[in-house]
Amino acid sequence: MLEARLEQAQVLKKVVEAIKDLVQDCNFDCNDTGIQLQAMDNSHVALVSMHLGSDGFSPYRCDRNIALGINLNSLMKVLRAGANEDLLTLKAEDQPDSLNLVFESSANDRVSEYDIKLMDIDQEHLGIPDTEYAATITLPSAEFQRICRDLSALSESVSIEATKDGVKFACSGDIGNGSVSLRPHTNVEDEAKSNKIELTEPVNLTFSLKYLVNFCKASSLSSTVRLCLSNEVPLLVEYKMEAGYLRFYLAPKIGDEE
Amino acid sequence: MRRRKRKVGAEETPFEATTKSGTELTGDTTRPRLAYHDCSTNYLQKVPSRLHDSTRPANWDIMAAPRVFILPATKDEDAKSISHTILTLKHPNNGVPTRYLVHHPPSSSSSQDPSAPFIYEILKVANQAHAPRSWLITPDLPPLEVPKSSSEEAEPKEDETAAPESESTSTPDSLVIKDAHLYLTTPLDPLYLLLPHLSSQKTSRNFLSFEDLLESHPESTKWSKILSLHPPSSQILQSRLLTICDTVSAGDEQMFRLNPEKLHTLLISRVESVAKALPPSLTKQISRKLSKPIGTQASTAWKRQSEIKDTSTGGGSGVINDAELEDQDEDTQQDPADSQLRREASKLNLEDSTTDTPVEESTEIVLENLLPPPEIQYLCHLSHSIQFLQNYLPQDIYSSLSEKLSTVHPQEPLEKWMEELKSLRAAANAAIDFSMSHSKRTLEDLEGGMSREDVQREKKRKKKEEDAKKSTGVKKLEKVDTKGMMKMTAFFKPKDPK
Repeated sequence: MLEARLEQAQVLKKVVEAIKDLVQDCNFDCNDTGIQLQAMDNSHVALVSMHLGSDGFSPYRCDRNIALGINLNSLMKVLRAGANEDLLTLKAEDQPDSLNLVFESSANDRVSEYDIKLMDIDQEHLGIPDTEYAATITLPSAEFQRICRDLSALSESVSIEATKDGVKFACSGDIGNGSVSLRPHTNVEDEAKSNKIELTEPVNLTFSLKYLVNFCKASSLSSTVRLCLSNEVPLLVEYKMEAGYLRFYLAPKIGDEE
Repeated sequence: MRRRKRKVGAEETPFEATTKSGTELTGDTTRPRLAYHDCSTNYLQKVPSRLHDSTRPANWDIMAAPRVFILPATKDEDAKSISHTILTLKHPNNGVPTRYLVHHPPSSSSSQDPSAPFIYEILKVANQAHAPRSWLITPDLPPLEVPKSSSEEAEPKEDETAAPESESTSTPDSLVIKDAHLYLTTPLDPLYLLLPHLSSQKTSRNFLSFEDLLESHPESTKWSKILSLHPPSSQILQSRLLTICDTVSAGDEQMFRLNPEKLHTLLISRVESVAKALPPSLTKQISRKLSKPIGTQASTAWKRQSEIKDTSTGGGSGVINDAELEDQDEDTQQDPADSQLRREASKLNLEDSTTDTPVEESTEIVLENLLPPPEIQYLCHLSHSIQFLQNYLPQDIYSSLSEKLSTVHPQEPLEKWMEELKSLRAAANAAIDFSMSHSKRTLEDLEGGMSREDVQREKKRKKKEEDAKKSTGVKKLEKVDTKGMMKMTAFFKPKDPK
């Protein structure tokens, strides 16, 4: 039996909004530590991993491990029916064939209730080791989104070069080339607007911009984003949430000098 | 002229017989014939005159639209008076109420052969839905100035050129019928209609007089109607009963009881005679199914074969076709027999059209030396012909008949051949699969069941369904060039499931 109550429906709403364009159907694995999700896109070059800790819910109750196989498009349709500030309660049986969602609006005593049919999804779970990344860049998520959007107008892929001086996003395409360089910088007034670079060795990797743009849909989840890079290892793009995280992994482009 | 009509139909789109039954033995047990050959073609031109007949039966009012029937032959002097009644009787095989035509020439006509068949079943030769057509019926004009127009009197309207049409519509009695089905009537042995009753628990134990027999029949009123419509039928029925019943005489009355042995002898002789007289269109198809695969060296021929298949009628006439193989199992029920009939009916149309039809072409691949010995072919013909009979027999009689038949004609040689064939075909299929792996055509296409278009349509439909579930973002991402990007599984290893 799962019963989990979110203070704000928008948390789940934003998470699903961010990943529904990357994966179609996936399992929400519920256990006593919270709700996890891990899924790959259709091409299997990107992976999304989400964790919503039990302390993000009040109350949270999950007696047994439950996998909720959901079509994210369907889930989004239901989530759109609730307002951002609504209380959202998720309920499911131990062997569920549907997930029950209840939106409660404290402002006008409105309660709406939905059931989504679940499906059996056979997904393999990948073990993601803890990695010491060569470069860890923290920057405002809006800034990262803007860079990706601007550069994607020019090219399919972007090279991210991290040195001790800063990080340089560069691309070149048919119409020309472009680059955005960020230097480490600390905003005293607002920590979230700082650029931080932790570097053990310089790295330079190329990634598909379309995927990065896709990841940036999670920008509303967090004011900052963390990019972790190492040679020959997938890029990690992490958005921290109050009680959890949303992480995207993307395989670098190798040997593609176009 | 009538011959011409049929050929026109055959060259365009073959008609399809959709009624359950196709062939029936006539009272004459030695020569089973097919519906087309059986019916005395008469009367296409008679039908319209009947339509205007004021004394037409009440049925005509119910049938809003006129229909084209090919009726049993009648002497010319009888043709004016109505001598047909349509009755509904339970079908002997499945008990579904089915319409039968009772042919009862006026008793005045002395020329009538008293033993002539009097019950006819009605077959519908259906118009194919995708090729709409209609009948144009005109009086039987003598071949005259415009030579073409009169010879095409029954040709579908769409094929008519402007000239003959205008001419024929100006004739007062001509008529266009929207319903392009053709209804055939073929003689039916009334024994089949009596069999379910004869073999029922109640009647099979005791000797019954003919009158009692009919009286106890669940549809006795219908039967008494038949007897009153056509008095000689009582005589015919009794003589038919003699062939399958034990009799005792009680006074001057004969009492009947079904004798299963006699029945089986009669039915088996019928199965045998059907098997010997299967039309060439069907036997060709059977031998194609029975022939060994030609092997890999002929892979180009295969290709041609499958192309031909697409254009041929059923889409299921490939040489390698396990689905069809199964058709031959005697246990398979109505459907195979049904499709068999349908195929046969459509082939029948092709049969007398000229030689360059696709079917003809594909049969040339069947080489003599790949065929099984004649005994085995005959066994296979038997199993086909028993399917024809199955349509007219109650289930229990059919099963006992097929048992009986397999004791008279042991099936082992055929089964052994089929086994051998199956393995040979599997091998040939594998070889083809290998040799064709570079082409787009897949094994399933060759295996029939679904034509290539069907498969493609199915794929398209599935893809559409899948796409409907995907968000636009997912679809966009699928188009992204992922060249040079490794799969996630190359970096992260699958966790053991807990």
